[in-house]
Amino acid sequence: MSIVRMKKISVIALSSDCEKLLDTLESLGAVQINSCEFDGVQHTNLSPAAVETQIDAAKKAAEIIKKFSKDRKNIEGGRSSPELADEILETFSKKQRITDEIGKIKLNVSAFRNYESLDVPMGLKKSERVKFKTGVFPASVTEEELREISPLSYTEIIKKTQSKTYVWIMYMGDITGKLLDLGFIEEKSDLTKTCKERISELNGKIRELENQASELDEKLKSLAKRSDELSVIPLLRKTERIEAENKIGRTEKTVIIDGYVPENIAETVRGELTGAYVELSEPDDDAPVTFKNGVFASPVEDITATYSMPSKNDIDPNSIMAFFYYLFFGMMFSDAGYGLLMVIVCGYLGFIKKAKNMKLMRMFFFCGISTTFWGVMYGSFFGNAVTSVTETFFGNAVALKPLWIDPTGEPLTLLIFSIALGFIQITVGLCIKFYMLIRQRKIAEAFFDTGTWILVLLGIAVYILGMFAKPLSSVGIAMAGVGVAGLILTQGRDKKNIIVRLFSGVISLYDITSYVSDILSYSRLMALGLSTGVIAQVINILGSLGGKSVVGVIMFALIFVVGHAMNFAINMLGAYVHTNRLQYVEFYSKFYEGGGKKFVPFGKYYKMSSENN
Amino acid sequence: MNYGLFIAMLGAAIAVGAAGVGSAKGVGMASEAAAGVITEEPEKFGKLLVLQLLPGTQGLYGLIIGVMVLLNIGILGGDAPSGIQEGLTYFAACLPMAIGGFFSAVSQGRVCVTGVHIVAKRPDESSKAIVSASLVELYALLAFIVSFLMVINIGA
Repeated sequence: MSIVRMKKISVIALSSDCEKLLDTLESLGAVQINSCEFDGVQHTNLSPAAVETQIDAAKKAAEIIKKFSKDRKNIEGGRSSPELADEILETFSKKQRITDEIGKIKLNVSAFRNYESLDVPMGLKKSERVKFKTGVFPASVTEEELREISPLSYTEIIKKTQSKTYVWIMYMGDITGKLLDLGFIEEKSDLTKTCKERISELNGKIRELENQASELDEKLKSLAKRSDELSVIPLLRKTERIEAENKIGRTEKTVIIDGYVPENIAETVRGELTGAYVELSEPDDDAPVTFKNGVFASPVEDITATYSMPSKNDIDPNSIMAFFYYLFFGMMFSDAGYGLLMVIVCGYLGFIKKAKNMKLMRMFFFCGISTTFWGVMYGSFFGNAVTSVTETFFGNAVALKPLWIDPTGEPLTLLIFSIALGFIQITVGLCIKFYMLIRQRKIAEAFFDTGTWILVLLGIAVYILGMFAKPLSSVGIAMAGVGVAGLILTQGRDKKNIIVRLFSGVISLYDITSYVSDILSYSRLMALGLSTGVIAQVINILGSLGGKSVVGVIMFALIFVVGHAMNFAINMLGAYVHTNRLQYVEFYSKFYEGGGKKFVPFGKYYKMSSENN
Repeated sequence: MNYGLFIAMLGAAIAVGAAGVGSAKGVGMASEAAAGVITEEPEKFGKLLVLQLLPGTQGLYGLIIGVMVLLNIGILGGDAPSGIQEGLTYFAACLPMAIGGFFSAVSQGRVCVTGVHIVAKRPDESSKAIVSASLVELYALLAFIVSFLMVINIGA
């Protein structure tokens, strides 16, 4: 409901109490520590590099043992044992070296395989006259040619394949030229054993290495049982602590901790910090902010935070934005089946299991409710699955009647409705701007810059409503007219010259184009809503092509699951992206200043760490 | 031979084809860029996937228009066009989606490539990259809406 403002806090204590003080601050998790910048104070300069190396090691080790352990222990809240991480990494790299070695030997073996039936060693020592060569000819060389390399040669064919002939040649004299002509490639080797012996020797080695590798595998498997000791949380806590200690100002006997604390709990924090002098003061303009919202609006806080944190003029936009966010997401995703899936899965993860990304899950839970609602309004449950199934397998089609409108039947009505919603959101945005300006006592800006536009837009809306109730149209024209006149008269109020002033006023009317384009942008509500439904229908049509038979049922089930899973993923992504865009580009641009800093309290990892639970 | 039917199917073909080619190009460009980042930092895959997929929607819009036409001209439902004139009308209705889809998907692909660079250097700002890409998407949506309205109302 609100933005939480901060107080500046300064804690002065004896150096001997420093550790205890940091422990308390960490467990409170309510103070952001800033670097203390007094004259004459010293800072320690501890490096978190060693701990960061351990974090890297723990992450890599966790990745490795994933392959060796089926049961995933929850490592989030576990302990962290750097020795275990190192041991896993070392064992794994040992194993990898062995695997590499095995690969090399196997390559070697395959080279010898071709000469396996040669029963003299390849590196047979040549005598004074008789020489030997082992090697390969292309298969195109005939046996005749091989026999007649030279009158003083003997060629033994060891192996013939489709493309190559492996041979052993015993010869006298010089046959190099002739061999070159025939395309001979020599296999040089000083092997003193026969190839067969060598192969069995190498195979023995491979077996030995494989044994070693499987021993290492066993070891990794047993190490993997301790996966809960690879948590990075305690390590992250250490780095956070080191960073905090570096920010503390130190004199010879005292320490000074400077920071921010939320206004509403400032006094409680002061009470907790016994044995130290605590001073609370008004914050400067740099003070960070944080949001405080109920269950409904807090899930979208992160969406706002990624856009920007609020400046000191801003109000907390989350509760209003949350309403539009869920509404628009539902309209774009708009399928009761998909919506129910989201409600069940995200509801379980967000409210019962309280997963790590709880906020996001809760957001999708609310989006799911809205999606289901719009699915019912549009009569879409996995597209037209009900009609498809009843028509294909039971003979008579039962259609799910839309509660309000069939998007493919009456797209125009839906388009107008979408644009009307856009109109409402933009007007709400302008009203918030109006309120913000009044609150800052900028009365002129509020009425002349924002109020006039609200009048113009409302006037146009009333005029359009006048199509249904005649007298309204003249009221609308009057409202818009007053607004336009106001704009012309006031928009050049910083100009001296009366002509220039009026001229700037008229020019400012050109801004209407930006309002029109913003409002038209909401047509995506209809377009994306349609696209979910129509693609779902296409999937159902494809599925029911098999007709009423056993094969048909299997085919339908298969296409149904795969197709809807794809449609779900793509359209959910689309709905998410475009809902964000509407909030950021169309809504927030109307009033939200942003540029604030996010409050990051010291003690983020304290609660996650099991050592304290 | 019914030339009207032929021309209407030609329209459906280019709506699906051109928008699909555009999306394929866009997704391809973004994915190539993302692959470079993933080799260095595989944990960014989730963030990058969104950017890779964004230019893919045009192909889907094209598919919808194509199917809507087929549902109207006697292939998946409805009656075959009565003549060349009606066939040409369907063809015209497919053009916004074909042209708008193709070019917007390619431009969106380019924005996504730069978005991938943003994610590589400043992963916290990825949502801004996504919003930038969605700015281009609007024009595909407008083309889709116009094509859709035209196809729906030809029979009426």
